[in-house]
This record gives sequence, C-alpha cells and structure tokens, in this order.
Amino acid sequence: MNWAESTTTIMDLVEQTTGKPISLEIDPKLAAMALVVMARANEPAHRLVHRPSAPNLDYLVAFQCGFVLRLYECVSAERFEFAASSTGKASVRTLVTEAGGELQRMGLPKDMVLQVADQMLAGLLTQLRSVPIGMRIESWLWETYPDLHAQQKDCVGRQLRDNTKSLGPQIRDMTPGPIYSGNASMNCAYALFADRLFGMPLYAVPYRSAGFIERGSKLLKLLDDLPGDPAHDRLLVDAWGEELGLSDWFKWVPLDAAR
Amino acid sequence: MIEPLDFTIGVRDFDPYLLPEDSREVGTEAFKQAVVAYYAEQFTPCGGQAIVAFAADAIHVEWVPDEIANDPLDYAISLLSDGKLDEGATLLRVLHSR
Repeated sequence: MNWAESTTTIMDLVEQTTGKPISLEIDPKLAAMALVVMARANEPAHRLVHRPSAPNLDYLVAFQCGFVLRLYECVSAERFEFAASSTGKASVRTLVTEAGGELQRMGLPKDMVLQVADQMLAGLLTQLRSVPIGMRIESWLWETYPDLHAQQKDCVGRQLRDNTKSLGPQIRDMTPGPIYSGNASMNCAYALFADRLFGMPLYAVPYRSAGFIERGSKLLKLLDDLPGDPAHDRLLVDAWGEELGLSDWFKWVPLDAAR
Repeated sequence: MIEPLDFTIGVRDFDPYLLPEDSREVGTEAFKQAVVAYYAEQFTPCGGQAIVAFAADAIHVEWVPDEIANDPLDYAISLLSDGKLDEGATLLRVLHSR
C-alpha cells in the first residue's frame, strides 16, 4: 500500500507516541472500512485492519490513528475505555420489552429481543464515545493535513448521508424513544459540525426539520466550550451523556483492565 | 461534486412550528406546499434543487446539486445503470410523484 505522506506521518506519530509498532492487516470481510485495534500492555503492536479496496483509506487510517494518539496523549492513569453499565443494559432491555413496542408486535422470541436491546445499547454507546472525540480528530486532520481534505470531505459526506437513513419512520417505530432521540441528536451535532467545517449548510437540514436542531446545537456547544486537548475527552463524553440523559448507561474502565 | 442527499422522515415527525401557522395541519394541501417551500428555502444556500414527495405517513426529500438538478431523471437512470438500484428507484419514485 502506498500511503499518502500525511498518513505515513500520522502512523509514525502513533508508533513514536505509544512506543509500539503498527501491524497492517487486510481483511475483506471487515464490517468497517478500516479500524485500529489498540495494543494492550501484553500485546506487541497496534493492529490496523482494513478492507482491500476501501475508498478514502488514507483518511480512514489517519482518523483511526487519531483515537490512538488522543488516548496516549493522556497520562497512563487517565487512559480509559468505555463500557455499558448494568443500569444501561437493564434500562434498554426494559425499554425494548415494554408492551406496545414494535419489536413486541413483530413477535420475536424474547432472547432475540434482548439481544437486539444489547446491540442497540452497544451502538448508541459506541456513537457517544466516538462522535464527540471523532469531531476533535476531524478538526485536527482538517487543520493539519490539507492533502487529506478531498478524502475527508468524501468520507464524512458518506457517513452523514448514511446517518440520515436512521431518521426514517420505520426505524423510529422500532427504536425506543431515548435511543432514537439520542442517536438523532448526536447525528445532528455531527451534521452541524460538518456543515461548519465545510462551509455549506447541507447536512443539518434533515435534523432541523425533524426537530433535533436544539439538542444537536447544545451538543455542539459543549464541544466548543470544553478545552480541546485529549485530557478533556472523557469530560466531553460525560457532558454529552448528561445532555442526552445517558449518564448512568455507561462506565469508564481503565484501559488495560478493559479486556 | 457534492453527492445528492436524500432522507425520509415521518410526516408527523416534521416540526410543525417551522411552518406558517395556517399550514400546520398534517395532510392538507397547505401543509404540503409549506413543507416544499420550507425545504426549498433551507437548501437555497447549497444551490441545486430540493425534490419533495409525500407518502401516506412520510415525507421523502432529495436534494441534488446543480450538476444534476437540470436533469435528475438522467441521474436516476445512471444510478440504476451503476447498480445503485435502491437510490435510483427512490429518486424515480420521488420524481414520478411530483
């Protein structure tokens, strides 16, 4: 793979900052286009896995590396991972199994409904962890690596166009209110952020018309008001969690105890 | 070129307070006209064209950039030719229902 100069620079930065090399792997069956699995204390390398022909691969890898860099720029005692809390699991399971819900009407077996509940929670928490910190990384890449601009615009645009699919009435009908609302509010904040970054008020239009602009704007303001250094990333996620009413749905786990 | 943006929201999920007071009753012709005007105004800074279609319980919106706005039918057919059947068929339905 011939990486762009910026991507090579960023991968070098990861290796220097973390003291561990990046091991490259190609996986045609990978669900995402690319991801970085961070090395743990007893692992020799960060694994950078990507699909063989992923579009915008330079940008995607740079973006993933951004998460590693932000984590390792915190002192080791401040490196945490994110996990669902037992309260979060119980809350979503209750929401999903409440009488009258679409999943109930579909007549799915109870164990499958609970599995869906756990997946919904995991998806929402992944979003809560990755969207606000991802915006910090987006800003950093945009300001620092102009040669990635075209890929960044394309990739962010794809993501935002994909995000609007979850506004549809079918998704709304089968998703518990707090999860639907949390997802749409975070997508709205991301859309507002991208519109500002790219100077074109396009992607927030769907969310404005569906009534999510106020919550999305509040989330973006939290991002703007908090210091942008990695030491404040946990605080940022906590602030978003509080705004969305999800504070007791997740917990922070010290990095090397997380797996 | 910026890619088109399409989305669907429930007709009752549209925030009625964005519309003139006399156009907020869902399903009326005044409501539909106001929704079309709302999206046209929202997308004005982006150029292009907003195409809005109504189903029984949903509003489908497709924004296309200037490069496509002159001939959205041709674009829909090119999507189908490229194997993007879902996107192409959706756009054709929207164009047909206008």
